[in-house]
Amino acid sequence: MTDFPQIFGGHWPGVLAATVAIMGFITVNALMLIWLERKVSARIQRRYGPTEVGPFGLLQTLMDVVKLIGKELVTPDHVHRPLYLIAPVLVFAPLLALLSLIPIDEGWIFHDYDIALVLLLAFSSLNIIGIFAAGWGSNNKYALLGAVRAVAQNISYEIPLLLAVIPIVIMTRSLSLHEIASAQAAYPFILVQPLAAIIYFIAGTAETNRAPFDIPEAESELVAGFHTEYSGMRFGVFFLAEFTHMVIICSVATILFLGGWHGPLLPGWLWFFLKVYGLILVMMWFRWTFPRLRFDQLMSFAWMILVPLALVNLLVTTVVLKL
Amino acid sequence: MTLEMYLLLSAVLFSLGLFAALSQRNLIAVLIGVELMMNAASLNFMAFNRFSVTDPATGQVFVLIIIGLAAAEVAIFLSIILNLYRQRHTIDAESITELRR
Amino acid sequence: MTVELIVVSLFVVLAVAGGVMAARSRQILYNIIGLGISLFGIAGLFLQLGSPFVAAMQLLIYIGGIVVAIVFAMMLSMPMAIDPPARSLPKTIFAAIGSGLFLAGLVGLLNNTTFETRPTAGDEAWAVSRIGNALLEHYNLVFEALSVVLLLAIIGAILIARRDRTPA
Repeated sequence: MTDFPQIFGGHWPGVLAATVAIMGFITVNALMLIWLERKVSARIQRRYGPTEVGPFGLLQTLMDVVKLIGKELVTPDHVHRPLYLIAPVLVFAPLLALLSLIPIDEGWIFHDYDIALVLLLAFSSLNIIGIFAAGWGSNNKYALLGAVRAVAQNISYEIPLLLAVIPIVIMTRSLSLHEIASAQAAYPFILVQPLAAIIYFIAGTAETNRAPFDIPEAESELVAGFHTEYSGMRFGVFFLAEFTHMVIICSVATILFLGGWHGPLLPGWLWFFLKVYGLILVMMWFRWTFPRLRFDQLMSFAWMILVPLALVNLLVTTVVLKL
Repeated sequence: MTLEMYLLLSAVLFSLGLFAALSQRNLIAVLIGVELMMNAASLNFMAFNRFSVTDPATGQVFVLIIIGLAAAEVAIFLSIILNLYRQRHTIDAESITELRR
Repeated sequence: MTVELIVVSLFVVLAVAGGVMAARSRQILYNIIGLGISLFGIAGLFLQLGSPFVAAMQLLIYIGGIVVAIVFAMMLSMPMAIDPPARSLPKTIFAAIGSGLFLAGLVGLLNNTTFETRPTAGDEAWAVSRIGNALLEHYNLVFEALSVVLLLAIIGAILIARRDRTPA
């Protein structure tokens, strides 16, 4: 049985070093991704994007972050203070905890939990409480409406996400991410579970509130959705949380469907990052290709199309595996 | 922590849930009291599972089933509350009575 | 050992403080937040009692599903600007007396019973696959009955909360 000392492993300096490494990764990753998003969106829209600051505009994000940090943290008078202040923490903290679960290479993992997949899904659903706290705490009709829509969207797309992951668990008989990735040495699972991969990716895009599912934070719809009343670095934390969530969803998709670190020539961790950022590029491509889904279209897409498809996929998987 | 301390903790949580279910006027708060009672019971199950049971899968299965049943019960409770709110425009437990005094 | 004691005490404090907040708050939002905090503390205690799987399930289903559903129902059924109804004092006192008597009875029962403790089973008995095996072999009937109950709950909830479409 796993007790607390066993889980922490007794290696306090290791845990501290791991935490610092994760925080460093998140920051650099967010800077890179914001730059990448602006460049990709610019090229898709046949323009150039940031080119002034630094080579290829690479330092643009750094300057933007400096500007954001320098902004005054205004707390409006009418907000519900405890909820308003704790909401960015609640949105971001579960995602921070999740980054320690993801294996990058054979044996490069902080601790091989044997229930890592369940933990991932559990902490992603803790994210939802933070979104609600932001919306309710803002004491603002638009923020509340945005929060209600975001919560409804998140819980609706959580079900196809779970149902798409279950066939993989049945195939590998394990909930541990390291074991699932190791089991794909021969062939990646996307070849045997294409439908599950597509459903997972679509549901994952909806979970992070990215386009075309970004009704909750659409710029032209509800002012700014549930983070209307947030400015300065607090808004930056929501942004950071969104990009981190994107990285987590794409990492899990890589591990579950694309084979993790397996690949012919390059070292394992390089393959892993190539696959993850390839999937992130696909997500950004989605954003500037598809128009935004209306809210009722979004919900009916989840319940009428994705859930039945995922259930049929699960049924077919179990039947095929039993034969 | 010993077994008795876990049982004491679950007894305290159960009576807190009982107090909430009995004294609150808002129906959702009554639901919260019921959920607290269920959680106290599952804590009890897990404590016994750890200390007094030969096969530890038993208690865990029980707790998983309790969680599933709690989800089913919450679904029905909340849909009743929604229906009630649509008809009476209140969810105050003391004003939804049709028996005249 | 001391770090473990601190963490376990933290979870116990979270569970009890959340319970008190859930039972005594004036506004319904604080009740729900108290429930969430208490559930988080109980999940930590499940972890300490040796089952990270059940702790993760508690987080996933209870906090991620049930608390979110309660929050939804609250948002749909309570306008933001209405004051909560005043608590009636006799009801509170009787409820306190009742639950206090119940607690006293339970504590007395606990003091007078000697519980036998068995040595903890080995590591492989706590594996997640054992839970799966138990659910499908020994507790098969309960598992299937639970799935039927959930199906009935889904159908019932949809039927009850449906808007009546009376023909005009």
